Amino acid sequence: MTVARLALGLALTAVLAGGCSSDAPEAPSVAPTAIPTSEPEPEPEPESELPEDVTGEVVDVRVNDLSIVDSGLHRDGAEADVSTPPDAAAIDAAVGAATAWLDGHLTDLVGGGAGSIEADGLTGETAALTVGLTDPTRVVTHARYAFTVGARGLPEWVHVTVDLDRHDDSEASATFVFLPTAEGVHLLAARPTAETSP
Amino acid sequence: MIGWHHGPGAHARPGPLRGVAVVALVFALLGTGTAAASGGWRLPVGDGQPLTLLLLGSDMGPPRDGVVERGNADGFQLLFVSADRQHATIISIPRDAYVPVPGLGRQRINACLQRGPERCVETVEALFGLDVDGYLLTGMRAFSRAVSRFDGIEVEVPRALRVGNTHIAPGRQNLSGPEALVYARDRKSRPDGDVGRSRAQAELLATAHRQVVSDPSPQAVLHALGVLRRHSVTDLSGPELVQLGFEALRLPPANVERATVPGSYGFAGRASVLFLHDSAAALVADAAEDGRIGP
Repeated sequence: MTVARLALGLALTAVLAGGCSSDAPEAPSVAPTAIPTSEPEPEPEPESELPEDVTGEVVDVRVNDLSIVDSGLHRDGAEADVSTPPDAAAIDAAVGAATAWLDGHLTDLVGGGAGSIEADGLTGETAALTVGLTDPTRVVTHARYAFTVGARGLPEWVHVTVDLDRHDDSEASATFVFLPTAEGVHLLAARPTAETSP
Repeated sequence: MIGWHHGPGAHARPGPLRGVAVVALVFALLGTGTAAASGGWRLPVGDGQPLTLLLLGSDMGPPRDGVVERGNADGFQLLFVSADRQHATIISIPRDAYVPVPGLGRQRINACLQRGPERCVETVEALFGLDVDGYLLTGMRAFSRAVSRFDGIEVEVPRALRVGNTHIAPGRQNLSGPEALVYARDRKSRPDGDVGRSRAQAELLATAHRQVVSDPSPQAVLHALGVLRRHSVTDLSGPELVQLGFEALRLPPANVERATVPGSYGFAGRASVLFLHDSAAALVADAAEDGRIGP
């Protein structure tokens, strides 16, 4: 994008510079003659705008401690009765992977695609869920992701509440649950929550 | 990345709805397909294989001395789930069952836990020719706290029960954690003793499943899974447990069967033990095949 803008800027600069040149042809001194033409050319149709990528806003990240402290499995306060500190880097990575998954999924839907749910192994009814969230006629204007991550040190599940505003002033929300994997996250389950009209 | 909050009771923020009319729950608009739906969830369909889990309750760990992973497994249940996760059977094995325990000779089956939960897995695998996919083990105080954090468990108590100073009156009621522990432990008040206690443990498991399925909201499901995770020792990974928990949402409570391995009481030396009938192996093999008893 930056390179293109730079090239365009250079081109405009060159044109303007040429227009100011002393070598520019003088304006004709006689009245212009009308040149008969055929039908005026139709206005070119505006190119359909490609929908912008959806970039969700992470509005909240909470950690649900799954460590065994105070569980009664061990005597309270004993050496084994310990809380396992959450691994902040791993949690951030899981949240980042889930955010990327959701952004990609929603962007694909806005562009008329089928989204990423079937690719994660959930088929059939799940695919229909995607229709309820967004499509080319109801483009996402704002996506908010609120995360809760279950962790015993490392993240064990990632729960996301997704709230969408759409350009027709309608809204939709849904819940997604991901499992962390070595490669990122894997969609485990999804649950639509609600849809509202403008 | 924004800062994150940390706490055992953390909940996701509710989604904002800007005062417009709710048109419909989205899931009501959904079509049909191959993915499972339960309580609005779109769920995985499992890995296409039946599942076998060994569920153990230790008599060690708080309030007693000793570690929960050693002791006697007075709770001993095999859970079989069908490949499509639509049927399940809990087979109760009374702790008095007198069986070969690898490395310990013929013993009450609960003795296997003296060598750790893995030895209990070996025991049932050798006894019934099974492949156990994983175990979950809890202790007395952990069980009691889990039930309390699960907001109790509702059962029909058939007769007055008591362990120590904790009594339960007959009738339908929501048992607190300590009361549920009595329900799971008391054998002396039951006419069928250890066999009746073992059945009661299976009843609690089936009831807990029914309660989870009855409220499939995301917060409730993840809370229940968190309780299970925090109050048990298992060889399953956390994500594996979550996966199985969500698959359990597909399982209709009415499709959960329960049975107790058949046997007859006798004596091994001076100890009263349960000699399993030959039909016990057939019962277990039947349940292991497809999570169901019978055709």
